[in-house]
Order: sequence, then C-alpha cells, then structure tokens
Amino acid sequence: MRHFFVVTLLVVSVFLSGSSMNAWAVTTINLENISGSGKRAGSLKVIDGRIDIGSIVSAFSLRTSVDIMGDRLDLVGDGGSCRLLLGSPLVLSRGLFAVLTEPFDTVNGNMSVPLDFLTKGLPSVIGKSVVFDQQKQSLLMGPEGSGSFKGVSPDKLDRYASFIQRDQFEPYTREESSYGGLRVVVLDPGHGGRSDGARGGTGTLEKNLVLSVSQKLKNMLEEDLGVKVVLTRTADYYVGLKERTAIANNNRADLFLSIHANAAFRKEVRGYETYYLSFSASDLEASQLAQIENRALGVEGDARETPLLEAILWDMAQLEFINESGKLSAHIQEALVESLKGRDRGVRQAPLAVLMGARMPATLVEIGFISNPAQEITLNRDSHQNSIARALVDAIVDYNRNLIPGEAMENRP
Amino acid sequence: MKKVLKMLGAGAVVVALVIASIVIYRLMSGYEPVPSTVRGPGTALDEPRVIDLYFADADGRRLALEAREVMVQGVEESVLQSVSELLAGPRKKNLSATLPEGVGVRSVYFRDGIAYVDLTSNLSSNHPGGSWAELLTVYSIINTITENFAEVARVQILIGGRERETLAGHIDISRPLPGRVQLLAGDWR
Ligand SMILES: [Zn+2]
Repeated sequence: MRHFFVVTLLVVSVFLSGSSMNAWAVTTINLENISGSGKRAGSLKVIDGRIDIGSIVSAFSLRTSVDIMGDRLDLVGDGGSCRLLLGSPLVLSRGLFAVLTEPFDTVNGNMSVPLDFLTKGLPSVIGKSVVFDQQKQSLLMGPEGSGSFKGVSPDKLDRYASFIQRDQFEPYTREESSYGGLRVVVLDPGHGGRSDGARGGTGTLEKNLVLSVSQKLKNMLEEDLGVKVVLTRTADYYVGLKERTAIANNNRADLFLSIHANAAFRKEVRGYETYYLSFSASDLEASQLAQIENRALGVEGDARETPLLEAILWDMAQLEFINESGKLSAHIQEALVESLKGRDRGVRQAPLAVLMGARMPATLVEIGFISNPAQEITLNRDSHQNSIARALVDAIVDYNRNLIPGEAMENRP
Repeated sequence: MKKVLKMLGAGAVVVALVIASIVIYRLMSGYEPVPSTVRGPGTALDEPRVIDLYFADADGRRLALEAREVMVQGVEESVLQSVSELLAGPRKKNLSATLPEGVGVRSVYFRDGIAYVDLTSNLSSNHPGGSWAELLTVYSIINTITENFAEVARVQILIGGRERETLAGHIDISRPLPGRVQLLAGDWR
C-alpha cells in the first residue's frame, strides 16, 4: 500500500510535468544541512508556488501511509509524523493542528502542499528545524532533534472555518484572463434566510433588494466583460459570514464584492457608503511578526506562540490586499455618487467580519439607506437597480484599468 | 489516476466530518458566563465625575460628545453607569441615539485592560441593521469606555451573555476592539 502510493504520486507528477509544464512556473528549492557540511542534500520541486509531495517524500526518504479511504496521508520520518487530509489546509501532529495557507490538494492533477508546509509541518517529521532562505531558494535545516510542531488545539479551529469549508470549491484551473487580469469575481448579496438585514418603513427587506441587484450585476459582468461570476447565495437562504469569504477564497476570486443596503437611527440619513477592512495598531504590530513568518517561511520561532500566530494570519489575510481594496472602494464610491447623483458619505474603513480573511481585493458597498423613505422607494425600482449594477460594472472596469499591469496577479497568494 | 479521483471524493466526506466535529465541539464547549458586577462591601462612597458620552451628530456623519455627570466607583461600576447613560440616549436635541430603545446592560466585567460589556439580546433583534448604524452602535459604546477610563484599552461587547460574531451582520465584535477617537472628526479611515 505504501509503496503503491509513492509510486502513484511520482507517476502522476511526472505525467503532469510533461503535459502542462509550459503553463506552470517550475522551480526547485535546494536543501542544506546547517549542522553538517552545508553541501546540497537534494532538492524539492516547486510547481507554481506549491511543492510536489512526491519530491518531499523522496528528498527526505519519508515513509508514507494512506488510510483505507485513500484521502489521509501520513508522512513518517526520523523525527516523527504528521497527517494531511486531501482538500484540507490542516496539518495534524501529536493532537495539534497547524493551518496551511492553502489546502493539501490535487492542483491540476499534481498532489501538492503550499510552501509553508516546509516550516509548519516538515519539522515535526524530520526532527530538524527548518528555515527558508528566499534569496538563495534554499531550505536550511537545523541539527537533529531541533524540529518541533507548533500547532493549535482543536478548540481553536473554529477560527479557520472559512479555510476548511469546501462545499463551493471548484478546482483551480489557470485560464487566460478573460478581462485584463480579471477571471473570477465573487459577489456577495448580504444577509439571507433568517438574517433579513435592514428593513425599510414600507417593509422592504435588505436581503431581497441586494440579491436582486447582485443578480443584475452578475449578468452584466458576464455579458460585458466575459468574466466568471460566482454568487455566495442565489436565493433566500442563510450563509455564514466566514463561509462567504471561503467561497471567494476557494474560487480564487480576483475581486470580492459584498453588496448591502444601509440603515441609520435617523430617517433623514441617505446616500452611499463604501467600506473596506480596517486594522487597529495592535493588529498591525502583531501582523508584522506573522508576515515575517508567512512570507519568508520564517525562522523557527522559539518564544512566539503558534496559536496566536495562526489566528493573526487568518485575521490578517486581507492586509496584503488592503491598498487594492482601498482603490476598488474609491472607484465604487465615485461611480455610485456620479452616476446616481446621490449623497457622497465617503469611503470608510471598519472591522467588517465578511471581509476578514479574504485573500483578494475586497469591498463592501452600501447601495443606499432603506431606512430613508425616499431612498427606499427608489431602491425598489427595477430601473434604479439596473443603474446601480451598471455603476458597479463601470467601477470594476475603472479599477481594473488603473491597475499596474501584472499587479493583480503578483498579489495573488 | 483513479486513485486520485477516489481520494478527491473521499476528501469531501472527511472535510464534512471535520466541519461536523467542529460544530459539535462548539456546541459542547459551553460559554463561560460573565460574572455580574456586585459592589463589594465596605467600599468608599460614590464620587461624582463628568464623562463624555459618544453619540452621533444630527447629520449622521461623525460621533459627537455630550458631557454627563455620573457617580463612579471602580472601573466596572463606572463602565456600567456610562453605558447605561448611553443607552438612555442623548439629551442634546442636535444629537442622535446610537443604540435601539429598550436595551439594558446585563453586566460588566473588567480584566487585563479589557472591559467586557454584556448587553441584553434585544440589542440585536431591535437593531436597524446596516453597516452605518452598526458602526455607530459599536464605536459609541467602545469610545465612551476607552476614552473615559484610561484603564480600559479595549472593549469586548457580549450580547445576551454570549460572544457574538456581529451585532447585525457587519462589524466584527468577536474580539475586543480598541477605541477610534478620530471618529469625532468624521474620519472613518
Ligand atoms: Zn447589511
């Protein structure tokens, strides 16, 4: 069984590297022992930012075992073992979990893990600490026994619900962009089901209004720009906030746009607002540590607590895209105010739950106050909903045009 | 290749189990109720103090202050009184309330620089919704506490004795938040 699995892996990876090699960036990472002579001890194959599992198994002479269901892979080395679940970003070792930036998965037929597996999971298997030197593209391994597993206990796992939820997952195919770097847009009609959202004086429900606008926008984006559009809900049912972000992440969306209708304590308040995520000073401070770890596949931390670090990485996922999110918000706000002649209440930043963890430029737009009687009436008009959708298409086109070429892709995780 | 396909299918099953187990775990791990504040015996008499309450301005674009005198004694009692004043709404005509009517404070608990403010569950059910109204509610509570009581660095809002993801679907209150004093100037960035 074990041998069969390893052979399968190798055959699969050889087969694929032959067939679709040209579309993928294939590089290698050299392995070096810090304690030993420092000479090369092998290399790992990196395909488009992910490491081929087969090359890890052979480079470190690991033993593997697959459970009867065929979706659980145990890697066993001199230092211990870890377990991976197909389609899940979790690494399990000694009863603790670590969360990878992407799942262990078959991406274009190639079974692979994201780069951070090397520092998060591998140390517990080979019993050595692991440091990634990005400049040299080298993996530096510490002395025997220095490797440890920095996981979280299962009770911390609910923080990662959006990484784990995989219902809406569609396998990643890297197609040519349909509209200047834009391939997939995820639209999120706010609320739904038991969550009505805001309610207008004559009974208009936010959840119905925003679904209608989202569907119009979906049609326009598909017809005009030819991009793929995924809705986080297509009817009146409840979808959790983290689940919405997960749908965007799992679809590898290039943009995430959450569509809401606003409310105020005073009826007179009206106009348009666009929001993107805010971070507090303490968030930013903590994220610096996390980013060092995440980007450079970091130093084997000693004093740093992994559970905290993992939580920060999740909360901070949007930070990497915050400038783009700000620009997108500005374009949306401008388009709404100009084309609909509404009151400009500005672009704002707030800790919006639905935007946290989004790994792409992400915005929440409030298309008007249904608590304002006049605006409630206009929002119900089909023609006005079309105008809103049209303004949002224009905003997305403007945003995309103003991107530095290649910027959107470079910022992808 | 067959194997790989089979693995993908089974992966979905196991992930469903993972999700289920998380849900079960969440259900089983009960929330530890926040102890209500009880005034200790033999403490000193209340002292009057002027605090700034954070309401919304009439235009609904920024937070605005109203000074009010409360009798304070200890952080928890003081926070409780301030939030109660906030819940009562503004007295100045040109200010707007930031909380729905009829909401009460269940308890206040202070530990390690964080004030836990537990409000009755009608804060959610009576809330008008909308990012704007929710922002006002959250930051009028947080700012009123952090800007008046230096001991409090961050505020965790609880609803009906429980930690909630949001009040009405927008602003994340699942963790303690620091104040944003610049909202007084209408600076929302
Ligand atoms: Zn909403």
